[in-house]
Amino acid sequence: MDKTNKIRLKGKIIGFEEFTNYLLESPFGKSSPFRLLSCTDENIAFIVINPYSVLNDYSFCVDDSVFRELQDNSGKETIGVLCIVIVQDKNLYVNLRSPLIINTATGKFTQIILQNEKYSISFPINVHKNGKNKK
Amino acid sequence: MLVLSRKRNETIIIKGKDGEDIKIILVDTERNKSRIGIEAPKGYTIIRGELLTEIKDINKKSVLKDIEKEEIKRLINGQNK
Repeated sequence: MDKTNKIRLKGKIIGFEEFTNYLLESPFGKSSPFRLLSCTDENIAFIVINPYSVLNDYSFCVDDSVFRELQDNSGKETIGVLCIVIVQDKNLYVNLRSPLIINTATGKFTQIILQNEKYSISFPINVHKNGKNKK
Repeated sequence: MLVLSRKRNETIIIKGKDGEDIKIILVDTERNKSRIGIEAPKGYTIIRGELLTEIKDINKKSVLKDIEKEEIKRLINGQNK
């Protein structure tokens, strides 16, 4: 994330495969949440958050092929993980089952699906105030 | 689509071009339900078919609507306090 709080990302979101160029920006001046905006369609925008702010023990295994896909010739690699937020009836949920894996050095990303059934596609987040986990 | 009949514990092999095979075994079967075991090389993600549909649907639901933008700001700011 540079001083303008914006980085360009290139990758696909499941169900939105026709869109590949995004802009990740930090609208609230914090590291998370971010807004993920399509560069080609202004109607396509998501809110994404750092999943570790929701579950500090969030963890999963990623196959090497995912990292290879995100690499470029520069060999640079800084991996970040963000998850998409869902708003429904004024409640917030986060999709922990299919995180975005981002190479922040190259801007390449991919949305993976975790084989492990431990994490939900709509994990409630605004019931976790003050770090209390009610579930 | 290729359709094969299998009895319990019988297998199906999908031969990979690079020698990496996928093995499918019918573990158990009831009237309307079968348990299927799958062995695949690294790099394959094995998930229930409906999960992919659910993820597509939830991604579509996650697209921001104008009406939500202020609400999200309020909720997220509240959450970070």
